[in-house]
Amino acid sequence: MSAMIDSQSASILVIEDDDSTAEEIVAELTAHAFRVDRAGTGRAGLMLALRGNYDVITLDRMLPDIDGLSVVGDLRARRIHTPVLMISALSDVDERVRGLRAGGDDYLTKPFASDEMAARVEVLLRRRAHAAEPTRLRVQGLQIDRVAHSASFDGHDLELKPTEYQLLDFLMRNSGQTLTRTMIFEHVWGYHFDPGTNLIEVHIAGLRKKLEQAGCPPLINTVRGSGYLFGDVR
Amino acid sequence: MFAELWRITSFRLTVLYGGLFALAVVGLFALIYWQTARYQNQQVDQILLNQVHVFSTATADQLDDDIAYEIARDIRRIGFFGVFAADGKALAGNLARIPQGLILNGKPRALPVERNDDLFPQALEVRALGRTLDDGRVLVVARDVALLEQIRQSLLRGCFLIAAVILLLGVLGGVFYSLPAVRHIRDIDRAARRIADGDYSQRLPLGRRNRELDVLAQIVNAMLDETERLMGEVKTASDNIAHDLRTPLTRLRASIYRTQQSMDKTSLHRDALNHALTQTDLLLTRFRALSRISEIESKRRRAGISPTFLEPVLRTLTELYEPLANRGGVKLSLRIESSPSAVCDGELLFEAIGNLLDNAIKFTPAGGVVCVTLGGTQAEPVISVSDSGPGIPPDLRKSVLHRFFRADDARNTPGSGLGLSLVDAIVRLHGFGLVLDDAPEGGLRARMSCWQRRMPG
Repeated sequence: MSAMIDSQSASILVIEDDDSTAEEIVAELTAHAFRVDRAGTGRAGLMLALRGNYDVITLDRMLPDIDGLSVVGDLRARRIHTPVLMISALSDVDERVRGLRAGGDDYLTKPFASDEMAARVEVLLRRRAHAAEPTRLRVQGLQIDRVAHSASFDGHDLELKPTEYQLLDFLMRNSGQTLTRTMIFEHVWGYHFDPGTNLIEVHIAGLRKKLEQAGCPPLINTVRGSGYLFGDVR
Repeated sequence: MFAELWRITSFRLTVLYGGLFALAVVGLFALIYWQTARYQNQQVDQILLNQVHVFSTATADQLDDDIAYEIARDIRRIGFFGVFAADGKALAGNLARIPQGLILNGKPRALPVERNDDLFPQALEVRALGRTLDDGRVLVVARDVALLEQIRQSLLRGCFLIAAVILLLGVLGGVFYSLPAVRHIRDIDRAARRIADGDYSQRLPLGRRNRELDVLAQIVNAMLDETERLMGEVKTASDNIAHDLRTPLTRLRASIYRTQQSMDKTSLHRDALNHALTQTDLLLTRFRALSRISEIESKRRRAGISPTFLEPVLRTLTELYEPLANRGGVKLSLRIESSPSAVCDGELLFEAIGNLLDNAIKFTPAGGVVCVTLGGTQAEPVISVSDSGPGIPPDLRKSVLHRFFRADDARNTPGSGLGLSLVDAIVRLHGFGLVLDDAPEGGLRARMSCWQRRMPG
């Protein structure tokens, strides 16, 4: 999957004091062919982040010296807008809000599945690559108008409910990337809890059916055990 | 009220002692009366014997004079005298005939007197003595003992009055001493009910005056402390297990996932790995749910709580769960009876109702219905989720909210099996109410009262 990411040689900074977690993150990201640097403390991480030109930073919320929230706050104060994935053992909703408010771009709770972590990093990379996102997206005749919130296939409008549109929009904006159910739930519905396996699945199934009825080729792929991926993988 | 008082030992004891004391007073008065009567009778008898002695030593002529003199001297008209011939004919004195039933043996005795007796007018009780003189005449001396009767009446009156006062004081004292106990017992009852409802932070109240009750309450409270501590330990242990196992489980899942990804699509082991992945996910879901519940339970900050319009939340929810319901052949509907708002953490409320919906849809067979209703007033909004599924038997409705209740049979149902405990935790965090009862649709109805009914926690 990582073969489809255009930012092939993206470099990522991992700020994490726990060695085993850091190893896991580095291993997973290296497997996705990213260049990875690691810092064990907040101070070292901050120095690296200020100096190096990283595409994404993963940042532990709890660090021995400078708190993760301060690190990201400091970065943002210095007008460094590198996307930050906050990683924390604190899964409380308030904690998430606090992390995002401090300037984090996404929030992941420990323990996490490393593919989920990688998927989130890829979405952040994509966001950086398309800082100004186009108002129209088109994949194989399937087109969405992000201003009018409408979708069409081969010029024929698709009748989509608002959430179906949001779902399609999120999938298409991140085409070629694995999106986990949790990520979809967070982005489309805006809630941060475990939605259960079936819930997102039935929505995807509904969307697939509508696309199929319009004659659209199967573009929404299931990644077993992980989530979904939009794009032509044949 | 009286029945409740009567249950209090101190009240019963006070009334019982009051009664016994009153009885003792009655006995005392009876004794006094009896002693007084005896003394009085002895006095009267002595007078009678003296008079007879004086009369019997007199000659026949002197006797008449003596009797006339005695009668004249008796201003109170309590003395009766009579001299009769052997045939009973009255010869002298103020008695018309020999009183009936009088034995002429020279011993004084009480004579039965009827009211308005022609022989002893106005007398109530009479002691009399009769004897035959040496010349064959009969001498009768009698004396009205009205004084004794007066004493008896005043004694009786006093006796009843004092007994009544003692009884009254006894009852009043009993009430005075027992009312705090009644109140205390009511408080204990209330606290005990709350404890039985699962609120183990409650303690039995201690009173100020009821020492025995306090001793008992302290013992029970100590037991509750221990129970709460043990329950807390079980909870902490399970939370810790859930938490500690999540990291290795996540790593296990990652390795299975990586292996599966790196495998040839045609490999025969791929299915086995997929199965392992599904099972690991199931475990992780359950552990995540456990951690989530303890997280919500330990949540003390109330940052996310603000007035939230419930209708949009429920519309989003029904829309979110509708495809799931449709796939199971279940009709999901939303009924808005009123559109109140509630002071709550919108995200947590969403999660709670989502779990209720998930459960309802999961357990309702195809062809059934699940209905979400928003109603109640602005001050007291009520959200209910009802279904036409098999429901939950009334005796199990309380236990399904407990965290480990379904742990055994949840194995075969998808999801964590902890949904209702999670809902309960969220409801308790807000201080809301949750009642499970029968749905008009035939299955289970979960009614969430979204206003603060008790202190949150």
